Amino acid sequence: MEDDVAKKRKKRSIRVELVSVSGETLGVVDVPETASSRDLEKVVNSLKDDDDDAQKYAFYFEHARIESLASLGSEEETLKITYEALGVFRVRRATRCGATMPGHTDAILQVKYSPDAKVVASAGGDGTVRLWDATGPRRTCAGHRHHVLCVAWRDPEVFASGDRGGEVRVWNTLECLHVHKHSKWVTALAWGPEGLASSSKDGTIKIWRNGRMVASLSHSDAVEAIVWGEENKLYSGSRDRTVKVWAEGRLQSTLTGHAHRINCLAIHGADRLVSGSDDATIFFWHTKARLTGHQQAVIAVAFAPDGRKFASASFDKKIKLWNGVTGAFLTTLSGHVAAVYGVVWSPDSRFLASASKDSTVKVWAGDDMTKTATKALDTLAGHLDEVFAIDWAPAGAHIASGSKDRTLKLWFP
Amino acid sequence: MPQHEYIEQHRKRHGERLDAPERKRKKEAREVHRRATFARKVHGLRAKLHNKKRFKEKATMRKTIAMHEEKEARARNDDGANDGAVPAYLLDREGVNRAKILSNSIKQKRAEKAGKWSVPIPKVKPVADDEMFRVQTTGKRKKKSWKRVVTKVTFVDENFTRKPPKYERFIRPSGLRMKKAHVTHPELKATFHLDIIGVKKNPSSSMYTSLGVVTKGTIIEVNVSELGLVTTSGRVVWGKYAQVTNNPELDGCINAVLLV
Repeated sequence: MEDDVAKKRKKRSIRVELVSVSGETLGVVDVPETASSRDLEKVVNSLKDDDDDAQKYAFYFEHARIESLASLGSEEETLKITYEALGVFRVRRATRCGATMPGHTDAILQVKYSPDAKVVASAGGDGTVRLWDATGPRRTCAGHRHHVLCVAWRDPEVFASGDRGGEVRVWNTLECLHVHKHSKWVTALAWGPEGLASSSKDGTIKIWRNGRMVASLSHSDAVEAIVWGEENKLYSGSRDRTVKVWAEGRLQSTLTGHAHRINCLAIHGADRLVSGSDDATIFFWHTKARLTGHQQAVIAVAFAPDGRKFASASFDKKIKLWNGVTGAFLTTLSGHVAAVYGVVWSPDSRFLASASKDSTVKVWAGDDMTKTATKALDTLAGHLDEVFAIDWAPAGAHIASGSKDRTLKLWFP
Repeated sequence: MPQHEYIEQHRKRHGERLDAPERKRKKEAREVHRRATFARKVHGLRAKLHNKKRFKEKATMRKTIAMHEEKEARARNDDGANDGAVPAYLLDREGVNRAKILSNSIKQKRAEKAGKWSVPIPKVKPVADDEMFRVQTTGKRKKKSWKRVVTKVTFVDENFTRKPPKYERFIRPSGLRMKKAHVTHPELKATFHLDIIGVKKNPSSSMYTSLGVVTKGTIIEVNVSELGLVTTSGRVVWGKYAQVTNNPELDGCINAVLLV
């Protein structure tokens, strides 16, 4: 089809091998050298069997994103072009401060949007959890007797919070439903199919359901991060340098390899698990690869919602992007002048936002794999002190950030 | 082999006496008694010198002991309950010494807003010209006296080049030039040895400011980049002002307080 067009016009044509991101060859075609990425999109859609002919694609040549084939190659050789499906919806990126919400009387330690993106919960060092909507404060949940370290939503109605004293509280829209207890501070909370999992400095992970403890799982040192995977599996990373996989309250496997405490975990799909550690490396457990490049402790890892990439943030002021399927290094995002504390992806996987100690939030392009596009798209300045927490609204372009200066800021497009 | 290491060499070749460790132990044990006897007996100028020496030794001893105790104390309270609120990922991190790292918290901001121009030493005794400068007589018969030598500590920036000596009215002696200052952060109570960037204002006279004279009460600009301060827009703060609190020309060093 495209070959005929090329012959008719008597133009130079280029032989192109179309390869998917995972490395499978879709086909080899001759296309005119004037073909744009729009034309290549049509070729891919016609070669593919599926019904969706309106699917958009991005094309990469040697990791650089290309818009047309012009000046890329000659007639003799075959160009290897990687195609990548793009998300069907797009969000605009946040560029300005939409609201500054004072209220907390101590630093804000974590912010989390509710699943319906209407309410944002902030955990404060003053022992309260406050709920906010886009216009102002909605509710103050008091009850904790120590700094509230983490919050986690189950659904738009119910959420849990954990504090420095080891207390876990489950709240609904009206009141505190349950109070649970760890012997030391709570490091992470995660709602899963079996209930609420909470990990603590005391080295245990406890799973709670309807106010009762269902299981207590233990590491030999403080547990730093937990995530739920598919098939009711719970993954936990600990200070004892291991990642453990639990299923139905029993230890399924122990993953070893890190040389220092594990700080963060992220998972996509059934088995693509990533962990970041104080030994400045990231483990991609799917291929058992140790990803090096960071120079200081890796404090956060986050998978893009579409799973094609993941980002890692480190105390060495850099954010690095990695291929989510192969674990290959893509690019380094530099611009922060102090340690990066957190990184989140936009729901369409095109942007990522990072919170840093240098009191700024920066928004980066996450879909551009060129080596040069490492500068921040926007610097969201306004906080007066270190930004401890950041979250991107699950469906939309809003970013919420909480800082040591006791204010919550919402950033709008 | 260096010339003076013949004892070590002999020991390597022939070994030591069998009772050498015992003799060493006894010698060390007797040393305190010998020293005490000497301290009781000595008088006059020697006593003065000896006491001064002992005082210095004891001070360093006390400091080391305090340091060791502090180290132990830090190891013990790993979960200090009453320190500031930090997120879970920053809890329990020994590597990050948070006391030394400055932060621009609101409290500090407010303090800055309230008394932006209030400095630690508000009133300074003005320094007269004849105290500041010494007249240098020049010429073959030493009868010209238009040259002046600055008698105070000066800061001369690195890319300063002298005028030809024939036209040089002010001489800043290189022995009294200083490049670094001990700057104390008033809230952290921590002192840092920082590079001086420039002299912002000498309260006595604007001429002293342009000459870079550092006297008590002078505002200097120091390089604080190693303290890791950031502005709200996320840039590293490079220079910050500090006020000199001592008489550098008398003490031989510059002590200053950071203006926050």
